[in-house]
Amino acid sequence: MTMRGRRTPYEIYWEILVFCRTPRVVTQIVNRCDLNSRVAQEHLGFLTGKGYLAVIREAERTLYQTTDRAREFLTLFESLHQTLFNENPGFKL
Amino acid sequence: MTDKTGTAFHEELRSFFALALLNIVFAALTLAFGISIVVNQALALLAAGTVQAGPAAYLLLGASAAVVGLWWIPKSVEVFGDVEEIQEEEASADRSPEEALRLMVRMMALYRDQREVIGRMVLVSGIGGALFVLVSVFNLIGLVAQVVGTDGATEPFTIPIGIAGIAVTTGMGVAALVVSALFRKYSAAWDARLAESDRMDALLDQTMEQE
Repeated sequence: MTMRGRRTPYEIYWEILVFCRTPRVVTQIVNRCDLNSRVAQEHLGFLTGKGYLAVIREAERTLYQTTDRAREFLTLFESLHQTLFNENPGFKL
Repeated sequence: MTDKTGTAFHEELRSFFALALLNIVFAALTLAFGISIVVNQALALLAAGTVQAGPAAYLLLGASAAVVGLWWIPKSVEVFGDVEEIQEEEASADRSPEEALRLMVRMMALYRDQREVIGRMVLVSGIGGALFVLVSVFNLIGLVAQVVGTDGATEPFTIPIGIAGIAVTTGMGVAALVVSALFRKYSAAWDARLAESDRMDALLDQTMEQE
């Protein structure tokens, strides 16, 4: 799905980290998380630097996988959004 | 992310989809009515050979409605297209809490992008509604003038047709005003979430900084 929409860096990090629970190559991450290659490389570099993603070199492929270190960030993100949607009344016709 | 939250989001997406669709309908009707009034009044003025205040004012009203419709339609289609994409993805996605959250994040990103357009939509649909109501008033004045002018001896169906036309444009005016109010309600809900989201970003930033 390609769509417009301004995501915050944290929203993008969350999408990447959830998707990379299973090892993924860059192309898969770019397509799934709706990023361009340059931006994806920047975010992957940041997350790898933080220790949230591990780099796995396999034959001719480079894969990224989410580490245990990312767990706190992921848990916090999810619980904050749960609260956000539960405590702020939604729109209903 | 619980199933309850996912279900609530699903309902919210459906409601907004319906609103976006309704919005397109009224945008198209506003344009169609505007053009119809312009054409009819232009022909009437040409036939009269002189510029008369009533028909000229009515023509101006029609032209305003057409301009409003011309802006309103592409913006409505844009908003509708975006929410339709999310809805299609939601329909084909698994019902896991994680998928629900991913779509909520997308919806929030979409609102950040659309915020200004939706704000203008609130105004424009309100203006569209007001224009329809004005058209009703014009039609009513015209009908009364016709009845009074002929001492009630009008063609057999003039009054019922006139009343039907007034009822239709009044109904559309009220409905467009309702669409405006609903967009305002949608904006209020998402503005509150965006404000909260900014606060959350600060907390997430802190967590990442600590590591």
